[in-house]
Amino acid sequence: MSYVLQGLWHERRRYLPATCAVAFSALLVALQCGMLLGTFSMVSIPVDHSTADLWVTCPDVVSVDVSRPIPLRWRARLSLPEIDRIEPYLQAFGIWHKPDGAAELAIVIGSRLGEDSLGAVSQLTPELRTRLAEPGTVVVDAADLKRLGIKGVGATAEINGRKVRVAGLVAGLKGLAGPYVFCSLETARGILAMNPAQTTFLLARHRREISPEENVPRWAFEDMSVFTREGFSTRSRMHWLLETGGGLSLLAAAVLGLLVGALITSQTLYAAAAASMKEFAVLRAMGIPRWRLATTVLAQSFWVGMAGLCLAAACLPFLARVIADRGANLMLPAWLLGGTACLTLLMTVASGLFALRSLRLANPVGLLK
Amino acid sequence: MLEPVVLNSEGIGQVFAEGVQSTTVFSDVSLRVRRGEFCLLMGVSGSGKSTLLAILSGLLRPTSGQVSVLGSDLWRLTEPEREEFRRKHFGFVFQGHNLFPALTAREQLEIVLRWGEGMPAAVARTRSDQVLAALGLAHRADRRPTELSGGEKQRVAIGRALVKRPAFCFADEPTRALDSKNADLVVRLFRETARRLRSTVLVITHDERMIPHVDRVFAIRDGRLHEWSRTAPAPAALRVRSCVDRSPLAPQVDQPCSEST
Repeated sequence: MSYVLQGLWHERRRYLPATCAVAFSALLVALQCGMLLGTFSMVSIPVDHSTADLWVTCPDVVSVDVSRPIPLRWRARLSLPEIDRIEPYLQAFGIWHKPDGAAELAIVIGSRLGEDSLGAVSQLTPELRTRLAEPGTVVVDAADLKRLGIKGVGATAEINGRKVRVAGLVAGLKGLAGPYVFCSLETARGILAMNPAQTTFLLARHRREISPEENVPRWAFEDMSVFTREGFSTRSRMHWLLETGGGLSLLAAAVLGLLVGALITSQTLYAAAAASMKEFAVLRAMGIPRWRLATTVLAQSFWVGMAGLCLAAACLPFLARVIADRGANLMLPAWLLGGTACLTLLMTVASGLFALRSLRLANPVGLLK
Repeated sequence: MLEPVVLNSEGIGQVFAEGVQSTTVFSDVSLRVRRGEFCLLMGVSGSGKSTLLAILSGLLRPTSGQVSVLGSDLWRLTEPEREEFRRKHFGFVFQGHNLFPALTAREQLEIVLRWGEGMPAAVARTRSDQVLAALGLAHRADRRPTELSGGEKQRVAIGRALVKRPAFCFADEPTRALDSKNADLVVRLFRETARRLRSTVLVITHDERMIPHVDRVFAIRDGRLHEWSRTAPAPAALRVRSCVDRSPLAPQVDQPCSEST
């Protein structure tokens, strides 16, 4: 075992606060960012669960839920050899009137219902699509029932004064700004009172041999925006992340956790290094270079970071389960966990760099009494 | 045949300034030490012997004068050069052991060889074991400082200073707080080292028991360095009493020191 690891193990009680601080920071960053991802992935559900390659709408649309109507005749602009199919898609906010008289903002989504529909979410099974073909029927997420003030399939309510009946339930499509209400184009058009010559989006599927990104710049119409599915999804999430206080406050909490972790780690490493000053001073007297001692302190910080990450990894599944049980949408993709680990290690090594100032105390002359 | 002079200081002076006040610790100190000599530096507390040792060992820059070690003017070297010089030629034993609590006796020595000399682990281990055996600590090589007695810890500290076979070993009160048996052993170790490795040993001490075993005794008094010739009566500067009759090493002394006045 290296001298550094021996030192850490021998004085493990001294290093425990720093290890816990690192674990705390890593968990805070991972869980906050995971919740952030989970929360804002709800915004882009209609985009992520569609099969369209391109989303066409009016200019400067910042998010899928804040578009304005566009003319249906823009289909002609997309009549290009590389476009396979084009279809309209409606999405707009509506006022859901609960049976008890209360109101709730809901996001009405109208799409074609065919098996090859570009806009219908994948959770809409053929059976549900058949039910939605009946005018005035809608499908909602089971997790939103309470929010909508209804008990389940068969319940009725009003959206923008139009009576609707819940024909089925889906799972995993809970909305953020409001519950999603899925229906046919015709039902949506009625609820949203939209001009038949208009739509909110035009969805297109590219011929497979051409990448959607390749051709997006070709449609450089001043009054029209074209986004790839991935691009529009990211754009929608980033809008919510950057433009709403919620996202920033979650991020701020994660950064704060990181800073607190850095402070505790740095102070612990400083105190630990300062406690070894006499031993370091002897080595300095004997000509052992300062960089060698600095490497020791940095190696200590690295291993404290690794120990903290191991502790965090052990706690993460339990905490993730607690959060999920409480209904929060948590996403912990591998890149987030890897990024958190790198960030946390970087933080501990930076703390080690800060603790290096303690080596100035290693003055051999001070040992001569 | 006389051994060559390996340490030569000329006109060393040290003044500590604090605000407008300044204190002259000593001035115009010159001494020449030959290779393999075992020297004591004595004096009352505050006389400046630690300061002189720090200057001679390249740890503290003197206000005036020069220190030549092995032909190099120590205080004309750059800081990295002086650090490298200390790494190559100097070993130190300070008061209080200063051993790493997490490391075994063997590792306390190994760390000097591996970090300082870049020695491979196996070679460093062999060398460390040899030195520990010479110190009578072969059976304690795997013990940490908390498992060692005060005498054993001091021997490990000495081993750490000697393991790289330095040309010079500087020690500050190495027998302090040791019983007679351990003090005797420490003195013998320094004596043997000086002879076997041809190392020059310079020890600060108040311990009169060491006097009979050394080659030369220096003392600082009133800012001046005095040397006590072993063939002459001890100078008052030493302010030490004869210890020969009380020292277990007394029979080895060829010239007993008398009561100084």
